[in-house]
Amino acid sequence: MAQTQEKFLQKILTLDRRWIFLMVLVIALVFYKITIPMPVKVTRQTQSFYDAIEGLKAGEIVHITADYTLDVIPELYPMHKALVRRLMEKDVKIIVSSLWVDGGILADRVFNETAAELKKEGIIKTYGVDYVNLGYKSGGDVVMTHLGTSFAETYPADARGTPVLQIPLMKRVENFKDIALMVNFSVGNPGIRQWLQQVQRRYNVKMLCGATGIMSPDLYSFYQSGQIKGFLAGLVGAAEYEKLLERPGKATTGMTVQSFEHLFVVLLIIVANVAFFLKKIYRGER
Amino acid sequence: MKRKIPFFITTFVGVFMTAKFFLKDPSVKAVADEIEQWALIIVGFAIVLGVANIFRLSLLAIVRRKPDWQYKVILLLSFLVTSIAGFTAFAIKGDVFGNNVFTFIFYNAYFPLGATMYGLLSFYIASAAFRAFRAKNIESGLMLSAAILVMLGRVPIGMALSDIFPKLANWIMIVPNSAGQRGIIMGATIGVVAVGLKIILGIERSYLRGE
Repeated sequence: MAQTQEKFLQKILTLDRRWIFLMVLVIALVFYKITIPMPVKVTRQTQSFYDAIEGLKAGEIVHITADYTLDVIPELYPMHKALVRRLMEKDVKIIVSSLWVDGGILADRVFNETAAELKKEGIIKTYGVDYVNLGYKSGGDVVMTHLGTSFAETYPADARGTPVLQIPLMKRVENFKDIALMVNFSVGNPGIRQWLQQVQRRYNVKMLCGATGIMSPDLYSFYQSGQIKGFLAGLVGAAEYEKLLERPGKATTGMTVQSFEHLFVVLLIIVANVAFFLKKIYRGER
Repeated sequence: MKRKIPFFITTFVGVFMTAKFFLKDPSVKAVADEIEQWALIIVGFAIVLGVANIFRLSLLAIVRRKPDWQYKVILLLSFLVTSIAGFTAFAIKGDVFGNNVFTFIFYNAYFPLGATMYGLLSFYIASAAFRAFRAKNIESGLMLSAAILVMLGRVPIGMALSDIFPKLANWIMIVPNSAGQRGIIMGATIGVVAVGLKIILGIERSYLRGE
């Protein structure tokens, strides 16, 4: 009897990983289609992020650094879009730059989609007056420090090739002293840590961040020290922000899939450990 | 001479960039700003160099029929098609945005491929968690418990199950996680400062061909 049980436990412990892959896929597909309303609790760092944005006045300039790539779109795009929409609604001016190749193109897409949505609601936003996309620039840390000297020297032209000194919004910006707030969407290096090292303290820039779930544990200490005024941690952070804005979007709908995938992984760990200990007991090991 | 000139450039750049951080003297700032401008231009050239190098190595691998040379063919073809599409769009309109072949490739080939790579992580994380997370001793038991609490506490389903999960997850992130992170950051930063000083002073010269 004990042998049969031990065999069964061994079977569980050596379960073909393709079964696990299949279960992950099924959960993703099922809960992508069936959205169950989930209670989203707003964390302190998200509330701080929201408060910092709400504290901005019309006409002030925000510098968004879209330092992310296409592969993390599910996590960072919803928060990027929610933020741009909110800033446009508040008539805050936006400058976007990117130190990652994809960032410039993604920023353009966010601007186009948001401007089109607002146009339907009767709010007209004009490129060059309300928002500017400076695009991608290679150089990482050097670009960051040089922006502290001059935006126009670092980016002589925007992503469309227009000289920045001909762009009305850019005429108002010399360097970080003209920026009310910086928001970094970060996926790695160069990213939030480099912006903090090179720019935040040196030029006294008020900074917020949106990062992937994997990166977010790094940010708590910077938030506690006050170097980051608030941050959105992964898709959950984006969902919290959408809740504060009272405008549920892709992040909120993504919570069902993410919740059940997390629950599945937790169950897998519990099952594996129970099987592991029972096997030890049957073998008479301590 | 081959070593003295790069060493001189490194020291010169290092001294002025460090000085710019601490001093507000306009002459120091002017030199450091000029160095930054040069750096931006050099980095631009480095990209060209990198692309040319990938092209050369891939071409050699194809000609010599090295293992997996077929993938190099795909790499070069993708590179050429995307580059031509990008340059053509730029030549016609002055930018790469809007409806053109480049953005078509970007959103219909590069986008799903990137998303697939990231999406695959969830499958491997689930499989790895099942196989590797075992409470074999107290330390691994603690790690396991923390992982479970954070996984449940950071998603709405954990919040729905009990209020205790988000509270504990938050405490883990704010107290033990932050303490560990700070230790790592401070240690790494002191190391970076030490290595930087060694490079500026010429004690560390491994970047000059491993001396």
